[in-house]
Amino acid sequence: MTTVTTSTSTAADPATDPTTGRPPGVLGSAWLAALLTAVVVGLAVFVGFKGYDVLSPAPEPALESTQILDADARSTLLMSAAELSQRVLTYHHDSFEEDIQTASTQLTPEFAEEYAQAMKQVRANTARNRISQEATAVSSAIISATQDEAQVLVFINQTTSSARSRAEQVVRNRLVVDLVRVEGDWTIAGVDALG
Amino acid sequence: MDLRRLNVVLMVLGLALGATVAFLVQSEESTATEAEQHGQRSLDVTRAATAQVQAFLGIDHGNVDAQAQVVLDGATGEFKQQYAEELDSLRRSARAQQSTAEATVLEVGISDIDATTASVFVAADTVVTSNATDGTSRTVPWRIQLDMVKEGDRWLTAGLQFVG
Repeated sequence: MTTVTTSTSTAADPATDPTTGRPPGVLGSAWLAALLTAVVVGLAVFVGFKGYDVLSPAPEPALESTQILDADARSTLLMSAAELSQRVLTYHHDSFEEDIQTASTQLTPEFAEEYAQAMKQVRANTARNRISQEATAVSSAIISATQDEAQVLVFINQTTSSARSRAEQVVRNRLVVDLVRVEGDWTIAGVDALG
Repeated sequence: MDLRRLNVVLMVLGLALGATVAFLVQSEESTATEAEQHGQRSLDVTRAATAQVQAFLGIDHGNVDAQAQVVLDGATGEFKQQYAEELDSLRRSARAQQSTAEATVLEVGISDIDATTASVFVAADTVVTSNATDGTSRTVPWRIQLDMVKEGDRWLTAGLQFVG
């Protein structure tokens, strides 16, 4: 009984805080204030640095090493690779120039040059033998991909018909297609046929 | 200055900053691990698919059973069952033809992938010799689709089709 009375009779305490009339205790102590100030300043500095890292755009090397995670981004890449390789390998004798033009729109300048050279060699033969080549991508799959560069494995069937033979010829190809993103769109930078 | 009040304010401030730190560190970690996990997963799938196709396409008429065991070990479900059923005829024809096939996986691509399933496309070649090739070798190109599933910590082949 008596102990309770003494501990609650704060008014009689000699160490009473003059402004509140209550004892300072741990909560009112100057060392706690100093400690808390140090902690708050430390945390603020840390948050400042971290926040800057998070908010500022990631540096290039980090982007390059990042695989495409997003399912939408993956399917956009796969569809682009399939469609663009079809265009590059499809041409008809009666619309040759147009077909080449269409295919050339989404190639890097270097590959467009290579492609133009290759098509120059098939132009005469295509006209002479009334050749039509139709390419169909049957599958495409990512070998490696970052936000800006990708390598895609495309299985493509090329059906060729010509005035020389009645039967259509089907070639089943395996392509490794290199793509780079130019102004947001995937663009072919190279095509290699395996075997 | 009222030290009590100051300390309370500092504590609240400290807690708020602490929570911010926790959030920032957490979000940074989760992006890093997501990218890492994805990269590791792709790598695991590619390795498993390479090994599986190599075992599946390879033939050594003197060692059919050991090779078949490698295929079965990396297989599951419908594919495992199908392969087991065809094993006898495979064994017979390999011995009768004295066939060997050296398989080389050229490229592996992944079309769909999540934590436990993956659709994989593989370009491979086999160099084949048998009684039918008269001692010379012939290169055969392959286009293969694998359906892979993760069981435990291993990626196994649940389906295998040739892409026509």
